[in-house]
Amino acid sequence: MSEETGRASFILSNEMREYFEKIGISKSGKGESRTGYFPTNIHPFYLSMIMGIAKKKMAAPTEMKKDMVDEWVSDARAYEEELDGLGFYLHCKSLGLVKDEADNRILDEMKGFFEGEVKYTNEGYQLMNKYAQGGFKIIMDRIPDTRDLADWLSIYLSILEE
Amino acid sequence: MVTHKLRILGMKWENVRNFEQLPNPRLGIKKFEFDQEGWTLKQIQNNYGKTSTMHLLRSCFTGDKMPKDKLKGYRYRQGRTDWGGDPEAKVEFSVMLSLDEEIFQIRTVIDWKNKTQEFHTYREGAQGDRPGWNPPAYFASLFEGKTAFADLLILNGEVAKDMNRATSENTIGMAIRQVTGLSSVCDLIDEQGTEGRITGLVNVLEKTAGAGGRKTSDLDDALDECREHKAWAEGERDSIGKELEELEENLDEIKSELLDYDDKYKSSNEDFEKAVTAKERAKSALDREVRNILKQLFNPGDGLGDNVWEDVKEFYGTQIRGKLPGEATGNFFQELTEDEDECICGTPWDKEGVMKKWVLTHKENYIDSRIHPRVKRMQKKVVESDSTTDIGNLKAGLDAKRKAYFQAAKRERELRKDRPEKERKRYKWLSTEEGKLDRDQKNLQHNFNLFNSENRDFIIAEDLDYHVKTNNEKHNNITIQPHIFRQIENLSQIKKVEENLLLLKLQTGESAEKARGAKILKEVLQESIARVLQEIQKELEVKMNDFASKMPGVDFEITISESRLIFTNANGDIQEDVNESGELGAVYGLVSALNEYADISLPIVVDTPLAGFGKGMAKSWKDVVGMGFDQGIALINSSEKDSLRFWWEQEELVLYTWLRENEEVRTGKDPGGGDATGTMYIDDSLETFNQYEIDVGYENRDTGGGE
Repeated sequence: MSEETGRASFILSNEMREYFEKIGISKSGKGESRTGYFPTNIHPFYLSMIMGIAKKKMAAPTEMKKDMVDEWVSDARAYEEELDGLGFYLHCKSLGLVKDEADNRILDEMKGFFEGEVKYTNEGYQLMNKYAQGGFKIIMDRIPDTRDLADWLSIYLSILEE
Repeated sequence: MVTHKLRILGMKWENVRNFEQLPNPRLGIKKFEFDQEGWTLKQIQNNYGKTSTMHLLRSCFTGDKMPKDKLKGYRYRQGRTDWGGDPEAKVEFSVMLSLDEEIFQIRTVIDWKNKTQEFHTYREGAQGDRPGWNPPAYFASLFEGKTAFADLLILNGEVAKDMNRATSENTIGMAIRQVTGLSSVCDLIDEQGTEGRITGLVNVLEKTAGAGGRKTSDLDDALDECREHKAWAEGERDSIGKELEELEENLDEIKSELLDYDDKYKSSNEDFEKAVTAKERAKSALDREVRNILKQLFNPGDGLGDNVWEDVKEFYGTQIRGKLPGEATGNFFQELTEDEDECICGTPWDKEGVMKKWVLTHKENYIDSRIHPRVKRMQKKVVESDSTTDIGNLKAGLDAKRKAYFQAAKRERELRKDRPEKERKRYKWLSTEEGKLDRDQKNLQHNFNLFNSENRDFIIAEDLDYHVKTNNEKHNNITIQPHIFRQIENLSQIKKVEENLLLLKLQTGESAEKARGAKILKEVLQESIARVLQEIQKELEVKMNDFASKMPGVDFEITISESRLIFTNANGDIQEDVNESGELGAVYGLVSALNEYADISLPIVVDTPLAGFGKGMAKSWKDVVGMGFDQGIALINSSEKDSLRFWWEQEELVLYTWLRENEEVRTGKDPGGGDATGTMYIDDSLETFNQYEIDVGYENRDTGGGE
């Protein structure tokens, strides 16, 4: 089942959660990593999203049973403006607006992307969720069995660097 | 992101200790303003009035008057009027603040002759300056009477020392209750020998109605069923807890046996001991590196590399140059047509509404007032952002730490091979068993937490509140249906249902029943609050240690007790005396953790902040404290100014220097070498800040401060 539309939050789909919990997410208290866990759910979500962006791969988010946060929390909070900036840039780029100099159409897109002070519209979340799911597919494919966080991160960085 | 933002905008002094009138109407700056999103350094000679300013500021924040016997100490002390001060006059100090969009000023006037102190509050749109301490409600809820919390934001070395010693004041426990908003709930229950408000209510109810009462409603039946279900959940929890305990005992035995082996070889083999220590160190370094990289990667400039990020920066740079979005918001045009009788050009609106229609068409060219500051902030931050590293460097750093750990582990394994065959086999079996039990322990602990945890994040992440919520407002949006609440496993959520049933009962029951219900409610609240406080304390400890560990001199684990901070060294021993730098580091960590917990971005004001650290630690202080708070104000002397030169010379900070009219900048003395004379004023030039007391020899200056 797809979660492509309708969620006004980030999506860490069931399969993503299951995968990353095997390594370990602090709050769940489970995991096989010997070098620490992901501190929160936002960490694996973000790492998946960055992978998707770097590799230009998007995919429709799959089912998410549990709720997920709808703003940049934890370590991400320190960079929320930069992350806003990245998300909106990608949105405009997908519409072919990045080469337009201060076009008023960008204003309309701002209204349709940001919601209040910290949240996004469904369209905004959709874009980031698609990149996260796309990035996760690469991760699943390239790092299927590594369960130690330090080892996993090392492989992840290699792929990102390629 | 926090919901509220408090900032200190400026301060004024009149006849306070050595200050005649500041800002001085004749000399120096006319308006004394602070950096709203960074640090302001105020360079003031020792004994000029730094500590007094801190006390006055605390008083203005909390609305608490200062002790009467101390009031005289704030009077103007120069004993002369020709500098512009009046030794007979009342003392006046004011601080201008902004809370979210509202600007307000709290002013205190001290009549030291009659030993009285009063407050005045100015609020925009509230008929000017009015008597009394009446700041915005949210500010009052944060600070009113909360000296313990204010002490942490307006921080000096003495406060820090008190935090680290057992005192009867219970400052830390109070501060935690105050910042988390639990203090008002704690007032309801009996704590530390103080009778709470519920006990008072129970006493009154029992007097008027006596004991007794009978069950009359469905709520009673639901409550009984809820308690029965709670007993089941407690049973399940205890059963898993017992299993967990046994497993942990088993695990401890295995770990202990492994340690015995290690110790045996440690004591007989120096190399092995070194190898074990090296492995442990390498493991800690690797864990830290992993954590740092996880943080670092959130900077998209680092994670995506310059190619992509430069495009993003260019995109927003173009918008800024094109002044997009414009300074006005869509709401401006809407409000203009709705609230004003005429257009901004002075022409009254036409009856046909053509003008308004025309103005409103512009609305679409501007964005919403809530999005506007977000977009502006985003553009500025992105354009000014830098990649601090790249993926290659991050990976190289991580792999170096991984390699170091593998080598250290390999070395330890090799040395272990020297042991007898039988011991080696036993050691290997124990290690495997340890790994297996570790995993089982984590799983069991998780199951235990499903029943027992009160951690909000965990409950949300595991959906443990799913069967609690309803849409029925009459029932406070909490289920009262037994067939639904019987599906809840988590005890804190079951208790939530129980508390709600009790509340509903209280709303409908008779006096005696109300009294009984109130008693039960008090018991439940007491238990819940104790657990919540414990949970908060744990969370604060993690955040505090994370922050404090970056400070020089903090090489111990810090735990919080009700009355003090406890330092435990690497050997697990409690350290009664830690160095001053460590004490301050711990308190900065606590303040940072509390700030993070509050739903507000707060300023911090520090007096002679390097006093406990020494010159060599200025860089670390700046890296950790200087970067750790949204708005900072430091009252420093010239020696600290010199130690922090690398900071204010490189970054754009707001810099002020306090001077007397005849004082020579380079010496801090009058020409001829006498004490500085003339009216005091504030200078905001970089040159003065740089050269102040430059000829004195900073190493000879006292860094201690205080008056």
